[in-house]
Parts: sequence; structure tokens; C-alpha cells
Amino acid sequence: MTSEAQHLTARRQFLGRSSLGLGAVALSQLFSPAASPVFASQPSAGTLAQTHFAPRARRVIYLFMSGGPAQMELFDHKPKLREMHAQELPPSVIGTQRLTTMTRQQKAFPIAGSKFSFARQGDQDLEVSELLPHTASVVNHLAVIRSMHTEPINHDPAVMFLQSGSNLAGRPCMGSWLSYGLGAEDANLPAFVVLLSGNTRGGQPLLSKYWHSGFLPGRHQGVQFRSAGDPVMNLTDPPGVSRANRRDIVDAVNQINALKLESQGDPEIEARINAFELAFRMQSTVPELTDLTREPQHVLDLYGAEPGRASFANNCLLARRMIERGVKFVQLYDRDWDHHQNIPEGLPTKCKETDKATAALIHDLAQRGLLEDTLVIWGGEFGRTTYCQGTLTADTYGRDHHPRCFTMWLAGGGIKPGIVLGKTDDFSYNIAEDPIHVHDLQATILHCLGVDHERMTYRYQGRDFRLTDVGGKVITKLLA
Amino acid sequence: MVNFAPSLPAGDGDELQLRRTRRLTRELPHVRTLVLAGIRLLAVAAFGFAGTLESRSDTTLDYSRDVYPILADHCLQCHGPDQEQRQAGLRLDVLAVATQPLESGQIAIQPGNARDSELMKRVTMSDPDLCMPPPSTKKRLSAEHVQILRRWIDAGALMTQHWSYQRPVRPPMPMVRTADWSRNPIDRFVLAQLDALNTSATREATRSTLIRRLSLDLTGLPPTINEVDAFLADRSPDAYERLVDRLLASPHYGEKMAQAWLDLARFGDSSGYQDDGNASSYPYRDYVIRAFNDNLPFDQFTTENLAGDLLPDPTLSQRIASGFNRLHRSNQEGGSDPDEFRVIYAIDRTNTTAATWMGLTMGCAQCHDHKYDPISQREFYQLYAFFNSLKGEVPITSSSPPKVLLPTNKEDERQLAELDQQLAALPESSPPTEERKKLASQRDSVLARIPWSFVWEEMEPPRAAHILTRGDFQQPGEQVTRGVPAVFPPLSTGVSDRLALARWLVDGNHPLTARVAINRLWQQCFGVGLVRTPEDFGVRGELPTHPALLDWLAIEYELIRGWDTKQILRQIVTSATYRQTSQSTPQARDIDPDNRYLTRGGRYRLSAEEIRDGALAAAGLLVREIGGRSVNPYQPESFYRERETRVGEWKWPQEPGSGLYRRGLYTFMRRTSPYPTHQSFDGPSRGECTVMRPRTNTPLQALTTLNELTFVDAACRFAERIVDQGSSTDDRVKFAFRTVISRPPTPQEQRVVENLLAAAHEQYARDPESAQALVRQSSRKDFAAKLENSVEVAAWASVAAAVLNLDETMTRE
Repeated sequence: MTSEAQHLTARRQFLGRSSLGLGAVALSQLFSPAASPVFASQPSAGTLAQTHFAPRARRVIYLFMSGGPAQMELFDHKPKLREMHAQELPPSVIGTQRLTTMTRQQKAFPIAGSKFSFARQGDQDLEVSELLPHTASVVNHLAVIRSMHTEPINHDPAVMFLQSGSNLAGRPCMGSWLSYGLGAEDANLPAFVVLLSGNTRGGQPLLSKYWHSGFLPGRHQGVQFRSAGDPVMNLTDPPGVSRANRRDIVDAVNQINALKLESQGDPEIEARINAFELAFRMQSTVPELTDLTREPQHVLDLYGAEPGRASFANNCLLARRMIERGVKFVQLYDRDWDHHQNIPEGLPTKCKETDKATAALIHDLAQRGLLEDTLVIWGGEFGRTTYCQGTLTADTYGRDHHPRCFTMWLAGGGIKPGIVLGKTDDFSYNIAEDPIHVHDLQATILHCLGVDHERMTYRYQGRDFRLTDVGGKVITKLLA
Repeated sequence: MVNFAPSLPAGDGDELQLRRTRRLTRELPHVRTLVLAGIRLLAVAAFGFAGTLESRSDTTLDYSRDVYPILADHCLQCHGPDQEQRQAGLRLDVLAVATQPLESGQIAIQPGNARDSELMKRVTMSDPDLCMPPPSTKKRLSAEHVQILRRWIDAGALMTQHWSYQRPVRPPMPMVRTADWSRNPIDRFVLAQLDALNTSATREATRSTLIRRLSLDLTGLPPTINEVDAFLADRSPDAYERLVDRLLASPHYGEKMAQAWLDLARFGDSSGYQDDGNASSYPYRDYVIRAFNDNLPFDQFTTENLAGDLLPDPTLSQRIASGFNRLHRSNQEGGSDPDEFRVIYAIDRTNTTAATWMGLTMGCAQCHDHKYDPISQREFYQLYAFFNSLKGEVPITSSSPPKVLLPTNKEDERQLAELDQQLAALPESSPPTEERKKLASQRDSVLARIPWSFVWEEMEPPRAAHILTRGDFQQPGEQVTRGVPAVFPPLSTGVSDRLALARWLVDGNHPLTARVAINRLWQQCFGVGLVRTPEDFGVRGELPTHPALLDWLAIEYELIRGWDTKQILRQIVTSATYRQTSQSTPQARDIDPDNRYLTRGGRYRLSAEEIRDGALAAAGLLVREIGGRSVNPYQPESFYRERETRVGEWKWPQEPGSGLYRRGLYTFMRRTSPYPTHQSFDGPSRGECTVMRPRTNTPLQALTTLNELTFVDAACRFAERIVDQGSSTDDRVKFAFRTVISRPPTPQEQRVVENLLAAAHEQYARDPESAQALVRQSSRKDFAAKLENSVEVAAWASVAAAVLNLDETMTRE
């Protein structure tokens, strides 16, 4: 008898004797051959029995530019800054706002005009910097918000504010909220995945808390797919353990656990049996998912992706593959946008690394009909100052953190395409029209997904918490 | 703790959401102390009947249980303690205000007369401009809610103070039907409720389950086969009690106790923000282990942690203990504002103290008066004022003084003293001379070798504290003096320093300290506390499942036994309640699905550290040394790469030897990227005070225990041990099971394992190279011995892995 046949026999004998009350898990399934999707059961439903209203988007890809891109260099064109280059930024513009301690002590606050030129793009003549030629080609899909503002002034709290609605530690991130409220679409993959670009220059650190589930149950935490080693930690069987052998081990574990369930009755045991089955299945679904060599060359070229090399481009393509397979929220983090110094060199590098793939993602999603119900978000945790940080020289300048205004864009499911919302003053320092607070953005994102931000709550420490904390209003001007 | 949505049901925090509904349907009436016109009455109301939703209409309403939650959910946002938000001057949680005429002349609550009470008119009205709650809040009262309010007002609208703000009163021993089941008073209280439910306790767990349970609960480690055998063979009547005493005397007891305390103390080995550089104050961790092993009474432990520096002639150990208030994260990010972070740290200390000793969520009050609990914003900052005067806090770095150096050898000590002397002798200059620079760098390298610990030193005079408008450090308002919330007894001495505050917590008058502490100990022995929201004893938290038992234990711990932790734990674990089997029948699950009434023993997943420690113990790899610097076990090199600020900045010098196999308690805690194995099993990141860890059940956990290097190493080493047990398969399987779960396999389990073994053996015999590849993963040094019978060891490694991955292995039963 082959080992497989022996197994089947053992299973049948076992079946004959047993009378397990396995709830949703039928015993015959538990002991069926490994190849069949034994527990390809229902993906878990979210806490909301149904969305509060019809969703326009079913999934999200969030392209987070960590460090804070300079808005006046990319989307918020201010010719006046070039006219007033090197002049002192009028105190009336700065007002009484707080500055970081990095520039608070500066004796002078010279205006730094952008070195880069802008051109009008798309049907609405939206001005886009020469640094983003590819993004310029998809502006008809984008809703650009020039009037974002946030509260914190340092990276860590500002990222947390955008992700969790609070700069305090311990609140769940957006992806966790969606996993909690809306559940997963596919039983073989997590609802909330995180991808880091990886680069050799470093940048602001990317911390696990940026995809943490806070006080929500841990299963809603983002799963980081890694660009080096196993795509998911510990995914690969140890050397010398074949797939057949691993199947046998998992079968043995689950058979003994099933006996335990029968005698003990604790439903947690059933959850553990499911978890081991899913783990086994993921060992094949995840490598398939992350294998970019399965993409045709012209798609790789479109993104600028190179299989095997960690990059933002690879992650954009991966994000598309993930949402195709039912991942609900794909969070990309790209680092090193924190240009305190030398914008003329640093910023073009970052734009080169991301512009093509960003546009390719929009283009690819649109072509496949996925953009209709996928919401794409682009932006950093805050903007940058109009005045130069440090000494302004003929060749170079840097910019400090600026929470008072910055640019983000949205595209896809539920969003009005090809529009610009909000205005800043002539200095891109204060908001002149339509201020959009981070909580408003969050409320709008949830709205696109069919969720009323005030009604998706979780009780913790005696209080009903929500993503938008105590604020937030849906920005109807952004909605299609 | 990364997880996949499909991991299914029960056991984790989703339950929180269900609690409120369950509370209304399942809870029994409780013994409850009522404060009426200042007279403390003990109302032993409860044990006579079983209350269900159906019979509720016949029962007396309980304000805290039935009425208050409705007011809190629907009304108190605008008509509660928060003065700023209060509308129409109406406050519904204070009877004296709610019964006064309003500006409109109406009276919200007229006791005994629901019909004329404005409250009832408004909640039943359909006019959108007048009805309550306003439609914009999207909150609505159900018909049942309205009915409860009506009955409550008609019955006189009695309001009682929230139970946890009243001093516990030692309750009388309840009468029970079957007194012979009881082993000690704890059981009487439990039995009284079971009687009321018309149900009974279950049988005692088997002896092998009991020793495994006790060993895990009191030391965090499973028993060895020898320990199990000794206990099984000991037929003397006090065998169980002697086992308890042995475990309480074990040095691993302190480690187990420290693990939970370090979660509260948010102890980590790095600064915790942004760059997250190393900052390991590990002598504090060792102090905690020692304190528990020495059974330092909890009142002394409290004063040492909160105010060790203020004790007369503080010992080194007491000074190290005062580091409790220094263990919060600290930000070294460029551009962060020292004033801002000084405030953030003091707020963290305030919240941590409130959560750890009082089970209170003070955080709300940093921006506004608490919406539910009687704690005003002013009172928050009065408490904060105890914690904002640390000497030498600017500039903020993880290594900022004050700290205490703890040289481990005379030579370091001598060199440091010498360098200090030389430096002192040099004239000051700017920029510093080459000579000075050289000496300073020598001094730094000596310092890098010397262990240190954060301590507290108080600024003189103390820094002024202000109410911060909306919690914003840039908007200081009125200055406040140190003080404690008025709902509690006043400070007992005239002096308002941290020592007075610490003593106030443990002087026998505080209503919360002992209850909160005993609740944690109960949680350690049953998986959940008697108050199932250990983080919130306030009005929004759950009511205790056994209020009388909680109070009895609190008084026993605090007043009768003088905060003797080992004694009170001994009392808990020697009860018949504790000794019940965790096995449940469908009937028991039907009557008591969440085991709220303790109809069985607790059954729950072990902690991250315990799961890893258990695998190492089975493999014979566990190093049982106590204390010392934090260690770096296996961790993939690439783990930090994508995250750290500058590549290569976060070092993870993998231990060359025994450091790989220390208990998880000693694993280096980089707070922003904790050790992945621990994280996948819900280990906290120690960024803030953690009162209770969640227990999830996910595929990534399965991948960890099947594939992570430590577990693979352990499975191989365990296989080698199994093979060394003689040649009989029966003996070997038995050894494997008994080592890990302290019991032999059942015949059915034996067959499953034999099938696995046969298949694995066949495969490895066919492919000996894969057998060698696997056994090479074992950390065994003797390479030849390792490869010797590799086919056999590899086949048994499948069995070892299976046993190490059983649900029962990861579970405390």
C-alpha cells in the first residue's frame, strides 16, 4: 500500500468509529484527501451584517508616501513663490502656528520657490509638476485634494493620525477597521495586507503599529508581505520536510485535535483546526500570488516591475494581484519622502521611483474594469513648509514638516474623476478654500465603502471608538 | 499577532461587543452595597432565584445593572458629568440635579411619577425637534429601554453609587446546599450562585491535568515527567497543597508573575518611538522577579514602584523600583518638542498608575471631564501633578538621566571612576580639547559595558502643573495642586508627594486597589477576572460575576493577610473551584456558555512566551537561568531591513549559545518591531500599559510553530530525546505525550501518531538526503551523532512537531 492509500484507509477506519459534532466542519471533510480544499470554507464575515448603504468601492489600495511629499513641488503650483524666492515669508502668513523644533530657532524664513515647472494636464487643466509625467497622464481619473490638513507635526504621530484617527498609540488602523467591519472576501488570504517598498537608503522607520489592530481582535492586524525571504514569515517548510510530509503532520495534528474537540467541546479547538488548514493552504496560495514572473512582460514593463527585486513598482503590481484575489485593503508604504534638505536632488529620485508604477496601477485597474470598485489613495502624513529649512543657497533648499496644508488624491470607486478640490493661499501655507481634515477624509473613504463612519464602532474601556474619533464629515464634493 | 480574517470563532475581543447584550440576558442579581443617605446597607439580595430576561419584569430593577447603562449609552454624552458638553443644565446621573426644575420649568425625573417626568415624555415623543435622544445622534431607545426607565422612575428612581467606588465590605459566608464540596470560603461564594442557578460544579480534574495547570499558572512552565510521576505517586492527603507550596517557592514563580507585571509597566528594551534605539533598563525587570520571589507584600511593592526614591534612605533596589515611572516610551525624533513630550510622558504615567492600581481609564479626562466616571479634567491634572517633576528630563533621550549605573565588576568601576576624575581635572573649554574628547569617548565605551537602570529623582521645587485645554500642551489653563479625585477618600497625610499617593493606594481605605489586584490574580488562575473588563472598573466596565467573592478576597488580601501575594494565590488555587476539570458538557455550555458562574475550570491558550518556553523545555533546550541582560534568539536577518531608519542600525546580535534558549521573558523587546514569534501570539509591544492580552487563534501562529527556526530546532532535539528513550514505539510515543502534555496518549491518538510515523519513516527511508537535511536543523553540536540515525530521527521529528503543535499543547486546561 502506498502511504496515501494507507492514509485513506486510516481515515475511513477512523470515520467509522467517530461521531464528532464538529459544527461547521464536517468530519468527512477533515479526513478527506489533502489535495481537495478541505476547509475552503466561508471567508469570515465582517461585524456589519450589511453595509449602511450601497458601497461604490469594495476594496482599497493606499499608496502611503512616508515622510511627507512637498505639495508645492508636485500638485500645488505657486508661481508667487518663484517671484518671491529668497524673500522672507511674511509673518502674517506664518501667523501663530507651531513650527517644529528643527526650524523654530531659525533666524530667517526665506521663501523657497519650486525648481520644477508645471504644465496643465487632462480635461480640467490640472497643474501637475514635471516630476510626475506618468501621473499627469492619468489625471482624468484622479480627484486631487489640495486642502488636506492634519494635527500632529512629527512623523510617528502624524502617520498614526492618518491611519487610526488619533495620534495616540493603541487605536486600530484603517485596514483593521475594514477587516473588522467588512470581513474578508477570500478564505485563503488575509483581508488587510501591508507592502513596504524596501530601499537601501532608509528613511523614516516603518513601525508595526502603522498596521496594528489596536484594541480590535488581533486577526484584524495587517499582514506584512515581505519583499525578501518568505513573503509571509515562516511560510516555507523546513529543509527536509516535503509537502506530503507536512500534509501528514497537519493531518495528524488535526485528527488529534478533532478527538479533543469531541471529548472537550471547546469551540476554540475547531478554530485551531481551521487555522492549521488555512496555514497549509496559504503555503501554496501565497507563493503563487507573489510570483510576478507569472505576469506577461508587457505588464511588467508597464509598471517597471522586476521580479525578485524589492521595489515600489513590484508592490503596485502585487497590489493589483491581491485585490484581484479578494484582499480588501492593500497598504503600500514607500519611504524617504522626508526632504528636510536638498529637494532638488531627493525629490526627483523619489518621483522616479514611484511615478511610473503609480500611473500604471491606475491605468491597469481602469483597463481591467477594477477601478470602478477599487478606491486608490495617494499621499503622505503631512506637507512641507514654504520656507526653506536651513540656509537657502543658489542650488538647493530643504523644507520642514507642515501639517497646515498638503495634497492627497483619490481615484476609483465612488470618487468623482478628474476634479480638484480645495485651494491654498498664494504661499501654499494656509488653506483658502474647502479645508479637509484627516477625519473628513476617513469619513469619505468609509462612505465610498458603504460605511457610515459614525456607526462602525467598537466598545473598549467603556467607550465606543470609531476611526474618525469624534469628528469627520463626508466630503460630498468628492463623490461621483 | 498577525491574523487572517478566516480564523474563526470565539475567544477574542469580538466578545466585548456582545457583552452588553449578554449582560442583560444572563446576569444574575448580585450582592450589592447601596449607599442611601450615607448609611451603608448590605443588601444580600441575590442568591434566592435565577434571573432571566423572561422573569425580569417580576424583579426589582438594579440601577447599576439595568438603568445606568441605558442612560450612559443614550443620554450622558450631553446630560452627564462633562460640564462643557452639558445641555440645558440637565444632569441625569445625579438625582439631586435631575429632580430639580429646569429652565423650562419642567422636571426631568419625578420619583414615583414616570408619567409626569419630562424624561419619559421626551424619549417617547415623535416630534424630531423635541424627542430624545435627538435624531442626529442616531441613537434610539428601544421599547424595552423605555419600559425599564418607566418602571425605575415609578419605583422611586433610586440611584446608587457605582459599586467599585464604595469600600468593599466583608460579606457574610453565604448559605449553600452542599457544603461538603467546599474546600475553602471561595467555594462557598461560587456554590451559592450555582445553587441559585440550580446547577452544580463539575468533577475535579485529573491529577496530571492539575499538576500541568498548577505548574503553568504558577511558574509558566510545564512540569517534567519526573515531577508528574512524583505527584501521581504521592497519595498523602496534602499532596496537592505541598505541590502548590513547591511551585510557589520555585524561582520560576517570580518569572511568571513578572511577565504580567511587565505588561502593566510597559517594560521594553528600546525607546519606542521613531528611531527606537536600544534603551534596556533590565535591572528593573530583575527587581520585579526578585520582589515576587521574595514575596514582597504588595503594599511595599507599590510604594517602591511609585515612590522608591522617596523612601527613607532608599536601597539600590528601591531606587531601581522607582524606574516604574520611567519605562514609558521616549521620543528622540528630530524636531520633537521637549515641552510636548514632557507632558505626554507625565500623562502616560498618570494613565498607567490609574490603570495598574485602580483599573480606571483616566485617559478620557485629559481633554475633558470624564463622560461617565466621576473624574473631572481638573482632577486628572491634579493626579498628573504627582508625575511631572522628573529631574533632568531635557533633552529627551532614552538614556537621559537620572539613572543608576550597576557595574558588574570592579575593573569597570575603577576605570569609570578614574576617567571621571581625569575629566573633572581638565579645564572646561569650547570646543572641547582633543584630550577631553579622547577621555570622553573612553568613558563612553566603558559606560556601554555597564548595566544601568532608570530611576526617579524628584525636581525641587516641583514643576507647576496646569489644566491643559483639550489636553494640548500649548494651551495651559489654570494651575492645579496635587490631589486625588474627590470620589475617593482624601490623602491620609498632609504631605502631597508620590509616597503619600502610593500609601493612599494601599492604606486599607482605597476602594479599588485590592479589588483590582485580586482580580488580576484571579485572571492568572482562571483566564478571566471576576471583573471581566480588568481595564475598566468604572461605570462602563462589566459588573463582577461574583461581587461578594471579589470583595471577600479583596479584604482577605489587603486587611487579613497583609498583601501576602503567595498566601492569597495559595488560597485561590487550593479551592475546589480551581480544581474543577475544564471539560464541559453540552448542558453546561448551554447553562453557562462563557463560564461566568465557574461551572468548570478555565481552558485557554497559553501566552506567547509560554508556548515558546514549552517547546524549548520539551526539547531539553530551555536554559533555566534567572535574570540578566535581554537576549537575541533566532530572528530572520531581513526582519529589520525594511523598517529601520538607517540600514543596519537596529542590531540583533544572535546569541552564540545558551542565550538562544532563555525564557521568552528575556527576549529583547524592540518596541516598534517586537520579536515576531511573540507578536504572532498576541504578545504586546509594550508601548503602553497592557492590562490583558488578547488570545487569538490564527494561521500565522500555525506557520510559526511549524516552521520558525526555534520550533524546528526544538522539534529535532525533541526527536533525538524521544529516540533515546528505548526502542519501543509505544514507550517513545508515551514519552513524547507525557513530556509535552503530562499525560499518555489515548489508543486512538496512539494510532494517529503511528500512522504519521509510518508514513514519515517510509518517506525518509526512500529519501535519506531529506532526512539529513532536516536533522541538520537541530542545534546539536556533535555533527556525526546528529547524522547517525538520521532517517529514524527525522521520522520522529514529524511526531515531535505534531505533538508540539497540538491544541492541548498550547492550552492551559
